[in-house]
Amino acid sequence: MTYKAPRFWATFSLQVIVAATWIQAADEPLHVRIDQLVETGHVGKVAPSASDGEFLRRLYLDLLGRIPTSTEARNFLDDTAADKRLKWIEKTLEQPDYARHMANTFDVMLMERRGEKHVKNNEWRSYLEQSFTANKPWSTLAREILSADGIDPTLRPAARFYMDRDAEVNRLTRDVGRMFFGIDLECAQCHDHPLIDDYYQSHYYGIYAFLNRGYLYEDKKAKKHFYAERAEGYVTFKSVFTEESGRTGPRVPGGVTIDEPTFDKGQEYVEKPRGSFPEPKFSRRQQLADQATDGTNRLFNQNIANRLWAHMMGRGLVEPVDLQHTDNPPADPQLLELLAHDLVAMQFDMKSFFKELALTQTYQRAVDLPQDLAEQAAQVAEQITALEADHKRLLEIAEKSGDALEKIREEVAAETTKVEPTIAAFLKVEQALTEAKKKLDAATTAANKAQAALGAQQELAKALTEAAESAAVAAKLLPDDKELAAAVASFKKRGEPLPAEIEKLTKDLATKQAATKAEADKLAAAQETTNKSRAELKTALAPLRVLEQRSEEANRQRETEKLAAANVLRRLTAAKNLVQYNELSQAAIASQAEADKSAPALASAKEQQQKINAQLKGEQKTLAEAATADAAAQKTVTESRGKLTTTEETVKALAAASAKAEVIKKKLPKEKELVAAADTLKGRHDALSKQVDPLKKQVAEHQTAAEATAARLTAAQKTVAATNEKLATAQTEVDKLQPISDQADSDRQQRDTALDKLIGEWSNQFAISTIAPLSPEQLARSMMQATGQIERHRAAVTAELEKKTPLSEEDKKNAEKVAKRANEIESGTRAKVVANTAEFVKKFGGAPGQPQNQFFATVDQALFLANGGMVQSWLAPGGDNLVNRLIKSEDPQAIAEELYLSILTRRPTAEEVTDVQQFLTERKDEKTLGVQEIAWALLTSAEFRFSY
Amino acid sequence: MKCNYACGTAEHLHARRRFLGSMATGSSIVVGGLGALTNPSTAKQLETKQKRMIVINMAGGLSQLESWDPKPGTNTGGPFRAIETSVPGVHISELLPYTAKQMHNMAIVRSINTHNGDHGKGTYMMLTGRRQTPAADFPRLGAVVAKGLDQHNSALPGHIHVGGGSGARNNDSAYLGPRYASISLGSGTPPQNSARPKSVSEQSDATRNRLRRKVNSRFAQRRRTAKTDAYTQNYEQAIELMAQRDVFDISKESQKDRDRYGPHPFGHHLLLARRLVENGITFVQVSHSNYDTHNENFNFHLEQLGEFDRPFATLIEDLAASGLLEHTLVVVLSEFGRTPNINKYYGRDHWGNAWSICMSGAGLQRGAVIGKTNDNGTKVTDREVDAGHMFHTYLQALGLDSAGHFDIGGRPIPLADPAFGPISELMS
Repeated sequence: MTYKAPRFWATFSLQVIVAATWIQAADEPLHVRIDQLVETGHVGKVAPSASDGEFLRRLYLDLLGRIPTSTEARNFLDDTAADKRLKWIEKTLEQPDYARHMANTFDVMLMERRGEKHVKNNEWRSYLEQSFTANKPWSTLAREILSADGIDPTLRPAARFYMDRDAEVNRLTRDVGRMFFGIDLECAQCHDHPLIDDYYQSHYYGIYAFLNRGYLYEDKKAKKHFYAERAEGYVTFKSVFTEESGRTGPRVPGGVTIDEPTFDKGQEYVEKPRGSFPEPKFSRRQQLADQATDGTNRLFNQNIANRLWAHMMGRGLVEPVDLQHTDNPPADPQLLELLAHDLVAMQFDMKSFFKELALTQTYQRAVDLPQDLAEQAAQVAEQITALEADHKRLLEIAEKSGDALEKIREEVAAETTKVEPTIAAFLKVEQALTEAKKKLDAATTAANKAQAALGAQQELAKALTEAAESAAVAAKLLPDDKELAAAVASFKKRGEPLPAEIEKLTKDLATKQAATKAEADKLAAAQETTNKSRAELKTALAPLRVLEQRSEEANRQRETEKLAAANVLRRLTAAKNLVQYNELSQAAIASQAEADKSAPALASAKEQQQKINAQLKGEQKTLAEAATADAAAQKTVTESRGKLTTTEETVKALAAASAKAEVIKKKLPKEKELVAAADTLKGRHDALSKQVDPLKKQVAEHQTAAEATAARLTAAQKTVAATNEKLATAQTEVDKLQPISDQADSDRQQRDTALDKLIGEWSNQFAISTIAPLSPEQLARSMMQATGQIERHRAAVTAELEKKTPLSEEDKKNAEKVAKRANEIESGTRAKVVANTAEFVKKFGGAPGQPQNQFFATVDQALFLANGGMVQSWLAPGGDNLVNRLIKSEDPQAIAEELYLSILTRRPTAEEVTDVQQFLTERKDEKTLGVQEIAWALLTSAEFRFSY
Repeated sequence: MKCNYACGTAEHLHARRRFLGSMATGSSIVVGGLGALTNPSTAKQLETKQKRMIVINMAGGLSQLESWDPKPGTNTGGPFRAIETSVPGVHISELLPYTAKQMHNMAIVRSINTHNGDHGKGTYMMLTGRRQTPAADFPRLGAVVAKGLDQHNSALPGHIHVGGGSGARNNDSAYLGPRYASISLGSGTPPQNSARPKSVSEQSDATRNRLRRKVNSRFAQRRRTAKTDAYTQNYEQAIELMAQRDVFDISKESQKDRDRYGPHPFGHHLLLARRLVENGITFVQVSHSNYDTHNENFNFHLEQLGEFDRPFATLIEDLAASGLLEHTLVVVLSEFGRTPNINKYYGRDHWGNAWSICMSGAGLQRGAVIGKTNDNGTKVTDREVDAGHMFHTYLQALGLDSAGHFDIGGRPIPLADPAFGPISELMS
């Protein structure tokens, strides 16, 4: 299939494309110019080139939706041709998986996983796949989708965009804006966008007016719905914030309101519609399709250029891809202009465009930062002053054009107010015209009815007359037949009142015909009034249209200038960030050097501290013991002293008592009892007196012991005090050195934060490769590819077919039957792959009807891949799958290579080979398990989950 | 300038400035997002004051007259009395005697007017804070709360529906993505795939994860991003979740507690809800049905609320006692209320024009009553509020800035309908 260049190329006006010299002067291929712009736009050097393996993996994922097989990887890596990347890009674009993957990509982009309603999903998918197989230009594909009504069977699937959104006008307005123009006007439905200055409520209703006449038409006989269109329906809207109302005709973003051709009342629809429902002569939807896709609509062109870029580069120049406005500037406005311009010049040939993108150095960059950042920072620092001045200058220019735009917008508003009475007047006469048409229709119906009634009576009269006449002839021949005579009479009798009735009906008809004529005249008059009013309106609107055009031009100007200023600011910020990073990096190096220098001292101080602490601990223990011993000794002294004192006092008391008793004894020697008592006292005194000396001796002994423990305590205290002093000295040393080490840590953290920022910035500028997650489909297919599951599905399908309907030897010679079988195998395999993929979509995809390009990491996903039965079964050895191939091999080196090539599209490093070797040796008795464990680890790694 | 809105509230302008500011500097002052992941101090802060929410959805439409706004002795009041509560001067229906004793922990809004009597639209409205429109779908309350309060370091899911379901994700988070979609647990089915398959031994699982970490750390030496970190981190969280499956197992609760909550499924569900929030799960929704009492309204409410009252009061009491109520918002809502007029089948019909919602905990005033209806409950007479106000109020009570926005892939999307605001006098 080939595509003729649509007619607009002839009238293509360069005026509407930016005529900047850098585009016209270019005679280099697009990929070279892209690289030039990216490199000059970037502040600093760009990343080195990606390795062959990385390049091939990226290329396959982007263009085919899967990773390469180990054989493909091996072949590419071992290909020694100097231009092998070019050759493989061309080869890859011709693989059947290209159309399949693009069909999936555009399905997800345009339908966002919405459920199937009026058009079958598989018909839509195969329509897309055929389109990509034939390399249908985007302008054609978009035109088919935007103008679709579902009548033409070959294009019916294209109507899925409208019909499976239930033809709901707000949903369609938003999604047409997002997917075809790159602007999400959702928040501009009820008022001018609250957060985005560039989005107006009138933009929303400009698109809305193309679509509000559309409706789902149900053809009950065909049991099908179609997307029909009415010829009437105006759009007015009101802001919920300002209460201001507005009207708009259909207007593509960036364009001027379309003034429609006019048809007389009753002539708006084509006489012979293609379908079973009315079809307007002027289709607004067709206008949308034509105006959007004719190569002159800047937003349409930039939108697709940006989306295709994002598909390859992992990120749009404008990001999110449906939020293009001047406060969300593209990474490089010139680059976006260039891409859009060249894509139009290539007549929206997406395959060729992909080829150019794949050929760029920008696409083929690695994820690593260049090494010599410090050197770069020094060069960049010199540019800062110039950039600052440049930014200031551009900002002033942009402000002026902003003011100019504001002024024109005011003029537009004033002019809109001015024409409002003319519009209102026109709408009034048009309303009258509609009424007149209704009345004429009613009168015509009445006249037709009268005509029919008259005709019926006239026919009856004729039939009766004829019957009467024929009967009369017969009656003449049979004059005696009374019944016949009666019949003649009754025919005549029935016919008698008819002339009067006919006359009445004739009169009635004449009246009604006259009334019809009168209504027709009135309609003609109303039509004339309307035509006149319309002409007046057209004249009145002409200045407004001119102003709209000027306003768009002014907006363009402001946009270009604002973006230029923003871009310089971006470069300025990048320059400052690089310089800042470098300073932080230098500081980190310096403080690290300091830290390294003082590290031995700090370490030894800390070691010392530790040692002293250990020593102190022992000494403190000794001290505590000494204190306890001393306290015990003191207690013993006190106790023995107490005992001595008590004894001495008792001896003293006994001595006194005994002396007194001796006096009495001498005076009364005969009183035996008294003598005995005196003797007892003396005996007690003598006995006790003998204890005093030993007690004294004991006290002396205890005192000596206590003195010793006290001395030990004092010594222990002194030791501890001395050690504490040493500890304090060590602490002072640590206190002095620790901040140096802390400073190094903090500087390193600051540098790392700055580095993260820098990497983010450089990646946004495409100076280093972006790390982008695989889509659910890419992930599922790549996992099936890596584990050998696709081939296992194919084998199962083939075996089943062979069992159910085996091909005879005869059949196998029949080329047609063989081809048919191959087809059956292919579609059977595909069905299984699709079913498996659906499970991944459930876990890794966004909700239906929501943007699908967001990244989600959920625990569910990890659980699904770790514990779910599906991936487990893919790792079970069987057929020719990965695990089964590996466990048959005895050579660990070969196993490692096949694992890494199959899963990560690269050969393992020496270190990785050693790891595999060692691990399998450990797992000697459980080789299968070991292989499964490594394969699982590689499949669930970040390296596999992302494209890098 | 075009942004000179009639509604030009300070919040609106503030939100706008913050948005533009974040666009210009590339820094992120938005709620949730991956930013918190790379900033451990943020994660820590959330952990200590982590807020939670339990929603009890009285499906079918609870009668406000038989619950939070009784009108005894009037032509619309029905047969039941109003009883005193633990808050002097506040009366509720006699069908809720246990709940009445917890009124000092709760707040009632009696002036809800949603102008809606359709089940589907009402449920949508009350759980999204917005009117249903064909052009866009909005995330349910649970998804907004789970994202707004996301603790990126938690392995447990943030949004759970108790009752029905098999542990799989539902589709109710719209643009917030599957991470915040609800998981339906039956009466305690753990999340899908959370058990190690028989074919993988514990040791083998540990081994393959060790290998995975090694592969990842090699790759991370070249480049790492918030996304690669989030992906690798998920496996660690999965391992944690597998170890925490008991969180979903109600049989681990004491027999005494199971008795206190009652032997019926609703009692089990509320006890499970308590267990889940105690274990740090952000949002739990429980349903009690069916209150769609077009016939025999009074008998049905007698029976249904008889089942509801005690476990609900027990839940509030338990949360208050453990101190968790400080951080946990509990809301009893419906899609609408029921007509003051009693029909000929002794029923009450759909009614969105003057009805009530009961709340408790988190940043709300306790014992407060907001708004009034007239003597026989046919009209709101003071402080009329809409579903949108309620939605803002829930978020504010949870410490979220309801006038803020999420950054959804670079798109700023407001947390709640910007046309409304919270019931600020209800905030403590």
